[in-house]
Amino acid sequence: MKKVKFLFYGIFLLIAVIMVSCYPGGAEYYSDTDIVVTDYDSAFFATHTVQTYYLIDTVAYLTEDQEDVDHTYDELILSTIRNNLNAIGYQPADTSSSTPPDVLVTASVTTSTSVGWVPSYPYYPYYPWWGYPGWGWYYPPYYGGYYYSFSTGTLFITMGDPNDPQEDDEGNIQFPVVWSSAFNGMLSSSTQDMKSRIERSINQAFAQTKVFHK
Amino acid sequence: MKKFKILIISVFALITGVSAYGQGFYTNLGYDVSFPLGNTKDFVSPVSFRGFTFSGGYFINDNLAVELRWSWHVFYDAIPFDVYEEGTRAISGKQYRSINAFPVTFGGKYVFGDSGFRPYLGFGVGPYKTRKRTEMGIYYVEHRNWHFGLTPEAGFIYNFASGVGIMGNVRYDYMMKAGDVGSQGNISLSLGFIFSGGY
Repeated sequence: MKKVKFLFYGIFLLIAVIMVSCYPGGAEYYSDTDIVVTDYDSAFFATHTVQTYYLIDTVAYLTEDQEDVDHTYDELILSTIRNNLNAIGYQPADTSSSTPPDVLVTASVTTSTSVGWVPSYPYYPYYPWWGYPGWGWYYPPYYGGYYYSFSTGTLFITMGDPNDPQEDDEGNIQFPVVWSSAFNGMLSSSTQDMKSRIERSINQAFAQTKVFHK
Repeated sequence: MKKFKILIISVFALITGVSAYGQGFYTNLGYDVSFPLGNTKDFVSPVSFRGFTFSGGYFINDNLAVELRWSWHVFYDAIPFDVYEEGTRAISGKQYRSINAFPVTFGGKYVFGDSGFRPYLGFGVGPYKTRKRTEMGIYYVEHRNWHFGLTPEAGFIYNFASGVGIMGNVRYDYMMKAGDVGSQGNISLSLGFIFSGGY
């Protein structure tokens, strides 16, 4: 009987070890953690035909310490966004014109934890043709809160309507967000890997937005 | 997880301890292969090779036994890159889905014959704990529920030595809807050892 009990314990332990060691692993590569979330304002796109855009040529880093920011991917981020905007038929706005573009596009990056959506970007330079100093974004209430806490690297691309300025409680001018995209993933140390993931994810953000392909 | 391990070990120690002294008591440990059905299959389609059942029972007479059974079945699937849409929103990426099911059932067995190869039919009911999880990126959504469930089973016991035998069975586990999680189900094939105080 003692032997039987010993055998039983042995089998039990063996199974326990197998269960723990074979437990499903999930993501294996950094790129397995990549997700792209997009949302748009259907009311805006139903009533507007977008022809021109202005892409702000600086990637904003939502961090307090601006000196340690790694700008390796800035050019790639901006050129990939530009290529996609052109591909969906939007034209770059004429900066010498006094007419604002139909949409304003910005890219911003955060690598800190739990920053989430930042409703206004204080880092953007002032663009004279709109004449709205201290402008930022506001989110219409029906836009929905989707992105709350991002903890690794996140690239936000935001498209706003500069022709519909709104004033907030403090008297600042804000533009409504009509499309937004967030690419989130774990950061890897390989530049090549990061580049291909950034490019693929920006392309994906445009590809998965139905309203851009109507 | 630690509490869970302690629980397993205590239940195991208790039952094996009892089985050594009491006539008619038995314990069973089996390796389970589970085939998902219905909603479970819609969520995770692959066959699960991660599972086991541990049970302990008592023979009231030569053929009828009452039994308490505990199992752990892990269903898992890695879903390739896809786009998931809801109105104007879209999210794309890979998904890793899993269901951990822990049935605890109380029931009985009717075992035919009196020695050698003995087929049996059994039935049990009880609570089923489930953890249904979807991982996407570095985020996950998890639903933890207790379902009421039932389990008919058919199997055999073959004693090859005094107090030691092989037990195999086919069991259907049905879990009713609980919380946000609909009914779940799977069929398991189990093969393992049965140890008894002599019957």
